[in-house]
Amino acid sequence: VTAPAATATGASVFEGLVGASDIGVLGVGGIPHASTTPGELLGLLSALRSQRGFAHLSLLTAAERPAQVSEDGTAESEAAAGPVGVKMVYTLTRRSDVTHAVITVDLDEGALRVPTIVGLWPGASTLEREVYDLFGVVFVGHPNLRRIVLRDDFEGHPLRKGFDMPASGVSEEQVERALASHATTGRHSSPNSAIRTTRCRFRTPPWSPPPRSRAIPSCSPSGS
Amino acid sequence: VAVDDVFIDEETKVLVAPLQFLMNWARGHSMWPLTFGTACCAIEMMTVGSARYDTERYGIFFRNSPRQADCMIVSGTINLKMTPRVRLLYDQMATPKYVIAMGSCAVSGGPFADGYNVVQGVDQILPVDVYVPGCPPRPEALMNALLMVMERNSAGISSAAERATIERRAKAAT
Repeated sequence: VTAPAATATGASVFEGLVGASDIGVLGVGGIPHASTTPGELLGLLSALRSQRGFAHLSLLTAAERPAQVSEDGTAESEAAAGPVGVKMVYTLTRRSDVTHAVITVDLDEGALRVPTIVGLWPGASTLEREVYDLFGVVFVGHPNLRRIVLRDDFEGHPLRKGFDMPASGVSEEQVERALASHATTGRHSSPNSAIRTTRCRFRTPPWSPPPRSRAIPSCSPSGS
Repeated sequence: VAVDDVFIDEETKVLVAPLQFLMNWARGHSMWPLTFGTACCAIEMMTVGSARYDTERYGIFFRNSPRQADCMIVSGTINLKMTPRVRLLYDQMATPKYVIAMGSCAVSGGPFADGYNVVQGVDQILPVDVYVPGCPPRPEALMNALLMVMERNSAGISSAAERATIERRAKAAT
């Protein structure tokens, strides 16, 4: 990877786009960065893709938002002492000059919901399922929001700081239950097999899925 | 059934042997394990099949389908999500079938035994014939285990699966 010809700044990438706030750069490499809100996320990503040429989604992940600690070492507020939420991180890449752009969305505890970007990048489906599995973020409108790494009957989201690790290992009873599911379903052992046969839909969606459009926005740099 | 039972019929010049002897002889010289790796032990298992160790000279020939295999080498950690899948593969193998638990994880859960998702030994879900301790075991150790299963087949010793069936039937009868 060669160095980009001209260093992109936060302003040159995000200036004039609706929803981009806290525009700046990150780290030593100076990666352009902006934060946004769940409501404005889709519009901002879509504009970056169609107007600024960021056609490639390189990364979709999440991070626990640490409690804000003031200089004397105490938490700034009572709310900040507990879990405060999750930060969604989207990294886009413009391949013409190998520029990255990082967009973050702060989600508060109790409202870990963000619109899915499967309509913009279908490949985001897998990444969003992983974030849902490990962090518990609900991607509103996702066509198939199931666990992807952990088993289907797992409880909790282990990458959250508040997750309680079970004190003991797997019991024989758990093993028996797993085997019994195989014995009863025959073909597929997973308790999820019922979902698989019904085209991989949630039986009870935790939200009201909006009607989905199959249209994928244009990615031409000149305009949408 | 012993070698003494094998003789040449003087009249027809035909080698005569009890069927069970021939079956044991065949099983003892041809072991087809299932290609099935779940963790780092699988790397050592692959080494066993490579030119340096060359198990094919013993008739040990890795197969890609459980329908064609008669030996399952569980080479690595088994977690709860994988438990029914492992059992499914085992059930798809035709009898007689044998299980080798390779490495600490398959023997007892290994370093992950206290994990919230790790089965503490594959013998909780399958009848195991030979345990190969090590983290991971040397390829020689795995070869020794494979040859041990083949030797027992030659001698007509019943497999762990057969013993488990006999025990289960005896328990049901009482």
